[in-house]
Amino acid sequence: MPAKKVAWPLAINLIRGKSERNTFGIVRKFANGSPKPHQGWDFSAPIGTTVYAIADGKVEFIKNIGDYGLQLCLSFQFDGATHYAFYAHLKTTSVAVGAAVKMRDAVAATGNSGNANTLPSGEDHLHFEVRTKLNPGAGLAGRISPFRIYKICPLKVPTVG
Amino acid sequence: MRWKFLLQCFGKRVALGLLLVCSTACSAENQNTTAPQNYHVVSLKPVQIDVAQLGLTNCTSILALSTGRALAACRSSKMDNHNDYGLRVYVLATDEKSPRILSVSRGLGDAYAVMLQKRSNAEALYKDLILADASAEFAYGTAIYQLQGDNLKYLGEIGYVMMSEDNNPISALNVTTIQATKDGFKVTFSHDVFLLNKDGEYQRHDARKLFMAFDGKSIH
Repeated sequence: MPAKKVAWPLAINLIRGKSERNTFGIVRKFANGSPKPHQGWDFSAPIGTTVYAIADGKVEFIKNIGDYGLQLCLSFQFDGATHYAFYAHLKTTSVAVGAAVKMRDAVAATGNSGNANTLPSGEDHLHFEVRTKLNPGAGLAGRISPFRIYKICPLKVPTVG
Repeated sequence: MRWKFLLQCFGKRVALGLLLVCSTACSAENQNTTAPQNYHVVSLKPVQIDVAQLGLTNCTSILALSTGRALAACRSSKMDNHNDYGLRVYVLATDEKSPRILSVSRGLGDAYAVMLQKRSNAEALYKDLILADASAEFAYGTAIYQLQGDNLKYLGEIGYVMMSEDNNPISALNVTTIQATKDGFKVTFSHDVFLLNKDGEYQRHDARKLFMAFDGKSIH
């Protein structure tokens, strides 16, 4: 059954540093200015901030690996198709793989796992992606901008979840 | 002359054996001088330095470079501006009471972490290279600097990465070989690697057909 509405992943949602570099797309740069993609939105969040299910759905996987650190992926229906909400750099999760969740259920707490622990204080965040495939390709493949489901981007002004 | 000398000293059979050994050794020596010379990885040990007094923070790597010198990847918010920001590579003097900055790179942009590696080749035109391997949620690639005395000079970037089992770009340093050339160096890979295209997706490249070269101006 298609989700009528999608909730926000945090109680207060604001793009980290109010910077476009933390939104979706080829928005980042490396040493000589070469463009690099960012696969989702980074929401500012002190470590331990509660993370919510953005829709009714099912916990597809939880894993702690690589630069993403502790990750949780939740399947949900949107626009008649299965999508996946992917949360990364978490500190803890509070649901089990395979569990059904309701929109706004607490599912995790933000952290700085993976290599987010090297960022300056004040840069702690939730890395949040909307995927069209459970295991997407690298880069932007298999992902869409969260803007597609929220219709706004809280770049300068926070949105209350 | 050598043949006669060997005959006199060791007799016919031993002399022939010695000649064969010499001939093989000389041939190998000749091959070494003409074959490409690989840079080797120089093992650098982590070192504790109080870099806070230099205004450096969030170091992801601090390594002892040589006596009284260290190599570090750290942030310095004072140096950041709109176009030049992020982690930087530093050469530090550590032989006095307080450390000093001797050389610093431009910012490495939006990378969250930078791991440093030194590769050397005493015979090469660019004898000492510093590789800054960067990543955020996935590997960005590697910036290459020449270390000349205490100075860092940016030479270019290797954008190629490996792909993990769960399809995330990871560092390609372990499969990267650098060889000296007449005017710079050549970079090859022992495993297929991936490069980001303009659409933000990665394309596989056959390692057997791929190499990059630095010709004294840029890496291409």
